[in-house]
Amino acid sequence: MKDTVKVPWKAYILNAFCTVLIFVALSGMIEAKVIDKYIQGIIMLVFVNIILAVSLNLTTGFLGQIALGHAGFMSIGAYTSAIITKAVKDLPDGSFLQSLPPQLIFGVALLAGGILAALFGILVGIPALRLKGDYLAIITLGFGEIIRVIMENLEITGGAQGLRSIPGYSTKYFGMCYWITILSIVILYMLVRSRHGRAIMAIREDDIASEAVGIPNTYYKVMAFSVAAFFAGIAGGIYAHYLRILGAKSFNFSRSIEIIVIVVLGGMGSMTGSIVAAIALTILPEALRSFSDYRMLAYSIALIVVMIFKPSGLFGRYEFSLMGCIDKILGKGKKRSKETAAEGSVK
Amino acid sequence: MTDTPVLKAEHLGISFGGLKAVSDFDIQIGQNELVGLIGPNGAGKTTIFNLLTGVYQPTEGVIYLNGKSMAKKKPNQMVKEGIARTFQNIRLFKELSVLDNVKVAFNQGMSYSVLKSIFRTPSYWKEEAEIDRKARELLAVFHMEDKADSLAQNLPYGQQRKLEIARALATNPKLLLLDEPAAGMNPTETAELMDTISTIRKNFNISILLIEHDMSLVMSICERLIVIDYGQIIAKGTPYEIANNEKVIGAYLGA
Repeated sequence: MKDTVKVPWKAYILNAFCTVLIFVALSGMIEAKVIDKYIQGIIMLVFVNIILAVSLNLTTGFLGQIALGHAGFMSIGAYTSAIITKAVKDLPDGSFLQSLPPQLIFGVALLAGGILAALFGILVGIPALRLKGDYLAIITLGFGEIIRVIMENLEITGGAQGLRSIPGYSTKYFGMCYWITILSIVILYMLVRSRHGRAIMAIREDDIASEAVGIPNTYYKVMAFSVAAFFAGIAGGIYAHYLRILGAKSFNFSRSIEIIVIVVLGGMGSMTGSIVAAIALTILPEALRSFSDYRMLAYSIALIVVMIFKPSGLFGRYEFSLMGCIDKILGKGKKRSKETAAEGSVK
Repeated sequence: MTDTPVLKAEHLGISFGGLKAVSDFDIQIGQNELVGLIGPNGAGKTTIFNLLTGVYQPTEGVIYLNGKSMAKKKPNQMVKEGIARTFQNIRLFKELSVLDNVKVAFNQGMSYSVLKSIFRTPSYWKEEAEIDRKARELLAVFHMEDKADSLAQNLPYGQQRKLEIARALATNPKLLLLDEPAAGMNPTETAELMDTISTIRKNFNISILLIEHDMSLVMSICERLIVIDYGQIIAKGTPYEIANNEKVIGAYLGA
């Protein structure tokens, strides 16, 4: 019997090469002022939305549980990391923490935000994931609103006024945000294409059967939920350090819906779909600015048209694979394993 | 049969509210035995399966697997202990490939962690390669190796049944519970299924408990039969004894 599972070095190298190429192209264009501050801002929002959508896809697309509280996890990450970087910035000059490179502080702050969001994910997930479908959706929705109200009333988060003058690390360290985005996609992709991912998808397909073949459903549900929350927290951190002002209003219910829309439009269960849809749905409203008042109307019509003609989303459950594409073009016929699709498919 | 029975339960019972769905159910299954569980519709056969697999917790009695108590075990823990099942209405992971359906069932025997899968460590590749080989071998036993990459929902009915059995076997059970495996099959498929079941017994050395309505199948392959009606055992014995038992005939014909 032929060995079908082996390390796809070629695909790894190819995908790594492509991500570096995109990175060099982007930073070159920023250097040459081809990309101005405005476009750079949109790209930053694209990064944030990609991380949010791909992570939400883990719960909604792969685990099959509709969760409407993603903005809640995002806000936990945003506030946590912003409070940390602000605190470091406000330290007296010459203190030890200030002498550290700001990239490190930014990175640690993002990580802290992600971890706290993940902890909340576990906390909410254990009781909430006993339910499914509409009931779970409503619980997560309620959770998101609770977080928002708490944030609006805590002193440490600046109350209703929110946080101001957060250091603008995201714009400053554009490259770092790019690599965090790539890393998030890769990690989630590797997770999905493993025994753990298989277990998660089995729960989506039939939770009674998955339990009957020995899958600990609760464990995997909570795991997927908290991993998604972790990345939402990271995305929130990047978002906070891009906007530089945080108000609880930026994480309301409609924000969660926006992310769900990206996931559904791209295709539940397709990371490629989430990435493409995140790019499209972030750029579209900006590109449609010339239509002024009709902008949101055109946006909504675009959504409706896609849902009518492709109800499973743009990509369904298909994952793009650069290696597979090249093989096809070269006429090698046989489809390769889609092992490294995610990396190459950014942009 | 001197060693401990694979499955033993005494005075097993469950009530839903005031309704006693199953009561005083005794069962003992030895090594490599094939026992049939029959009874009219609504007699409580599937409820017994749900008790034996941990879907329901019995309100009375305890289940022993190889002499070990299975009290308060959840379904996924029961699988780990060695009880696997199929379902009356097929429950496959429809939109996963045939191969992945089997691989999911191997999950509990695998050990690489989440971090190891993210970093794609050598242990990931080693275990994945091994599971891939094992899963294909198992499919080959059922003559389905060429279907490995198609979606489970696209299989013809008979093969879906077989895949469900293959998936149950992937959990490496000591006892296999088959809930009406021949339901909806035509005579040729049923004959094929009987072959499959005897192959399983030979190759995997496991005990089987079988619910079935197809009497020709039950009579020809089971060594012992247990007949229940209204949640209680009304007869036990060899197929020949059962076929001539008046109580059983009465239960089926409503006398």
